[in-house]
This record gives sequence, structure tokens and C-alpha cells, in this order.
Amino acid sequence: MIAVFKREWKSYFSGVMGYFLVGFMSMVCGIYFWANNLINASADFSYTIYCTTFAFLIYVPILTMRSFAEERRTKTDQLLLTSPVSLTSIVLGKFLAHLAIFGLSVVLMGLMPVVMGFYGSIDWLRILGSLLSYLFLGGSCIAMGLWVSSQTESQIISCLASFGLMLLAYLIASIRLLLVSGNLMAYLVFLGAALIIALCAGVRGGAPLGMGVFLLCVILLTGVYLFSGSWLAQGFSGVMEAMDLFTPFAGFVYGVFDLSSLVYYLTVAGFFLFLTGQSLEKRRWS
Amino acid sequence: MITVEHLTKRYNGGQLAVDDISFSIDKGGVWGLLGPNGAGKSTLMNMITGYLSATQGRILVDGVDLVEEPGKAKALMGYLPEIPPLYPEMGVEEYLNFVAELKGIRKKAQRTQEVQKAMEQLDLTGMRHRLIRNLSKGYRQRTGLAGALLGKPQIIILDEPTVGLDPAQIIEMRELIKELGKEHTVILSSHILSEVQSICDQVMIISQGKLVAQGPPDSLSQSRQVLHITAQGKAEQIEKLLKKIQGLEKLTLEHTQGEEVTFTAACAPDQDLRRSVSLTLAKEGFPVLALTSEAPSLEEIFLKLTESHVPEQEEME
Repeated sequence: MIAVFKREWKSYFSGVMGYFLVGFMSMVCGIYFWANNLINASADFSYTIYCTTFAFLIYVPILTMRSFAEERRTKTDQLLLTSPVSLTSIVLGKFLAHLAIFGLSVVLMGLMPVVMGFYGSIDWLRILGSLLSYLFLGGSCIAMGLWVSSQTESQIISCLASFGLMLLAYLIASIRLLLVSGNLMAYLVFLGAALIIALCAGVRGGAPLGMGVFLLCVILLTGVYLFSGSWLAQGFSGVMEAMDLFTPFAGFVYGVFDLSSLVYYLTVAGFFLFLTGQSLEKRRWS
Repeated sequence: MITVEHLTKRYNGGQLAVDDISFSIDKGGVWGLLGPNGAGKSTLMNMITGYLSATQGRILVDGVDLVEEPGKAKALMGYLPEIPPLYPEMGVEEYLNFVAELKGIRKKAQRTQEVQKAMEQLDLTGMRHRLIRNLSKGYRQRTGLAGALLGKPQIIILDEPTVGLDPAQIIEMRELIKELGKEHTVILSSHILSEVQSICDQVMIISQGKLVAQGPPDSLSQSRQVLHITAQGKAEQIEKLLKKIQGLEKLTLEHTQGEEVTFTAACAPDQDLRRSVSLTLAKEGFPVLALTSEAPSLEEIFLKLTESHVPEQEEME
């Protein structure tokens, strides 16, 4: 694991990529720091951190796009997978290296409130809580990006797909507000999701399987809708909440240290790292 | 050293790459997997090294089951795939250090020593600080091989180690492989016959995912003797007579030219049937015009064993 970590870390800083990513994050934070804290003379650095989360949409896809895709393209994964190193160590080593690069940005961001501290009193606990949660949020986004990268050989596709996923996670809070209305709405959205799943199944396993899956989903959903429509609405709201990566972070920004949010981020990261391991394993079987 | 039992690999598209192969490789020497392109050599090697999983069957490396204890089994093998798995942005020494660490050599002093030794063995010391991206194909191949040697594996597996090298490099690589065969068990794959004939102690011929022949290159080429018989007379009558001779197999009529008929037949290498063929035919009044016996070269065996599949292979590629 340490070997994988070290190599990954070095590879980012042997080219411009590592410096670019750290510089990008610092720049985004610097701009908000300047505008919020310096110009407006506000001591609220947590809010500044909150403002920078939109940059994840670009930062995470670029950070993670090459992690597994490039190894697969250049066949260097043959070295990793035929070495006496477990799959878990490979995935964890890579994840921790990416997290460390992001962590470097977080540390640099932590220096900004130190400057503010020279001129007045600041709420250190709140800022540290926000930075910690920020790191966790970043970790779960990175895990998601790694999983996307493990699906393809192309960095470009990986980057675009991660961007799509990040965008969805970022916008889901607003989409949720639009779609709260009614059981019928939830029913229709679930039907749409079932159609997508059925299409995927159809492409993989042939048309009969796809149609079978779709039929089964329709029967189940219609049944639940007719029996107790509110279940669908509740389930829908639950799914949306689970997909909403960014909202739990807001709690920390407002000064609430919420352990359940950290557990949520750990769960998301663990889930996607598990999927990454599975997709590497699956490739051996295909 | 390596035991493979009923190994089968079927890819997702339904293509059968390796079809129920069983063999066992003893300790020491150079073992060659010979087969035309697309015969399943790379798939087989990828399965033995644990890169691909088998659809069916079992692989034991020095008695260790690859599925049950993958870490332990993989530590016994060093693998150089067809395309050396190199990171272009790393330097040669840096890369080898990484591989050594990946193979579980924890202590830094030991790592440095092993990397040093591997670099000396492959004549890479002068290139130690070069970026892999700037290396020629020959040096890349050597760097990959140096990586495979780290961790003192008992078994070294090389997939087409001489492809893409220039003639001088090929000779060098072959010498090196022979040298390695003295200390390690080396398994290499190749589609070049002369290469296998010159460096391997044991040959396994693979065609269409099946193991079709196995043995030392000499014994393979001496496994049968071919007789060419030309006599004068009616083809049917001569054939009837020849069929009576014990030990004569695979009698086929090659061609007829007027009264002259030519047959080919096979027999065991330790039997010389020329006398009995000549006497039998002469006794019945058929003069023997020509009679030769020869041992087929490995090339002929190779072509014979693999020729029936040629059209399908082209399809596969």
C-alpha cells in the first residue's frame, strides 16, 4: 500500500499536474478569501470554504481521471495485479494518495485564517470543524472519481463522467426542491430510473433480460403506488437525500459538529472504494 | 513447480481462449510455450500470474493454490508481460525501487542492493537516471525484465521477450534467458520456432487454446519417423501389402505417375522398417524405386499440429 501511495504521489508532482491542482484550489480559495474576508472584513472563514465547494466539479474529475484509466491503457495494471499486493491495498493506496494531494490544499487553506488571527479573534473550532468536514467531503468525491476512472480506459471519458456525477450531486439539493410534489411524481421518476436500469441490463445481457427487468420494476412500482403511494414519495426523498453530497457539509459551516455527517461521508467513500475494488476484480473475470 | 489442472478461460464474448489445458512444469530449466499468434499463450500466462482469473481449473505454484493464497503464490513469480508494464514518467532506478517495494522488500538497504544487482545483471547501471519515456525498446524490455527479477522469484515468466528487438538485442536476450535458466525456472512464450529450439529445454506447443504436444525439442522432432516409399505397380495392390507390415502407420498415397506410386508412412523412431518394406514388395514382384526415412523437424511438427486451425485463427485476430 505504501509503495502504491508513494508512486502515485510522486507521479503527480513529477509533472505539472500536482502543482496545477494544488495551485487551482489555492487560487479559488484565495479569491473567495480576498472577497469575503479581506474586502468585506468578515471573520467568517467557514463560509469562504463553503463557497469553494463548487470548484470540486472541475477539481475532482481532473484529479481522479487518470488514476485507474491510465494504468489500464498502458497495461501497468498488469504489474500491480501480478504483484503480491492485495487489491484492497492497491485501491486504498491510490485513494490515500489522491486524498493527500487534496489534503495539501486543505492545509494551505488552513493558513489563511492564521493570517486573520493576527488582526482579531476568530472562531477556530468552527473553522477546524469545517476544514475537517471539507476533507471528508473531498474524500467521498475522490472515491467517486476513482470508481468512475476504474470503469474506463480513457481519461477523457472518466473526466466527463465524473463531472456529470459531481454535477448531479451538486445540483441535487435544488432538484429536490423542484420535485417534492406528490406520489405520482415519485412514481414517474422511479419508472424513469427503472427504464435506465432495464436498458443497461438489456445492453449487457440481451433484450429479453432488459424487458424482463423493466416489466418486474413496473409491476413492483405500480403495486407499491396503488397500495401506499406515500411510500414512494418517502423513498424518493430518501434516495435524493443520500445522493446529496454537499448539504451535510453546510451544517459544519454553520457551526454544528455533526458526527452523522462524517459517518455519511465515510460511508459514501467506503461504498465507492468497494465498488472500485469490485470493478477491478470483475475485469479479471471478463 | 507449476501445476495447471484443467485450465479453461472463456472471455465474456464467448470466445474460448484456453481450452482445458493440464500440464506440470518441473523445477529448473527454460520452458517454452510455442504457438501461432492468437493461440492462447498470453491468456495462459496471464492466468498463471494471476492477472486474469480462470473460468475453470486450478493453478498450483510450488504447491500453493493461486486462488486461496494469491499473495504467497504471486511472490514466487516474476512476470514480464508482452508490453513491459513501465511508468514513462519514472526513472529506471526509481521504477525498480518501486517494483522492489511492491514485491514486499521492506528494508531500504536490501532494496537498494537488489535493485543494484538487477541493474548490473541487465547492464542498466549507465541508464539508472534516465526517464523510461526516453528509453529505446531494448532498454525498456531490460528494465521490465529487471523488475521481474526483483524479489528473487523462483519462477520467471516472459511473454514474447524478444518481440520488437533488433537482431543483436535478440541474441543478447536469448543468452540472458539461458543464463537465467540456470538459477530459476523460466517460462517463455514465443511464436518463433528457432528461438524455442535454441533456448528451451522443454517445449509445449499450443494451438487453439489446447496443448497439442509437449517434450524436449529433440524428442519432439524424433517422436516419429517418416518413410517415403516409391514403387512400381498397381497402387491398390501395393497398399494392401504395405498395410500388412507391422509398425507402419498413417499410410497415405502421395501421388501416382504412370506405373510409379509414392506413399508416405510413419513409424516409431527406434524401428527401421526399410528392410521389411523393400523385401515385402520385392517378393511380390513390385520393384522398389526409392525408399527414404527421415525425422521431421520441429517446424514440420509445429506446422502439422497447428495447420488445421489456421483459417480460424485469422478470424480470431
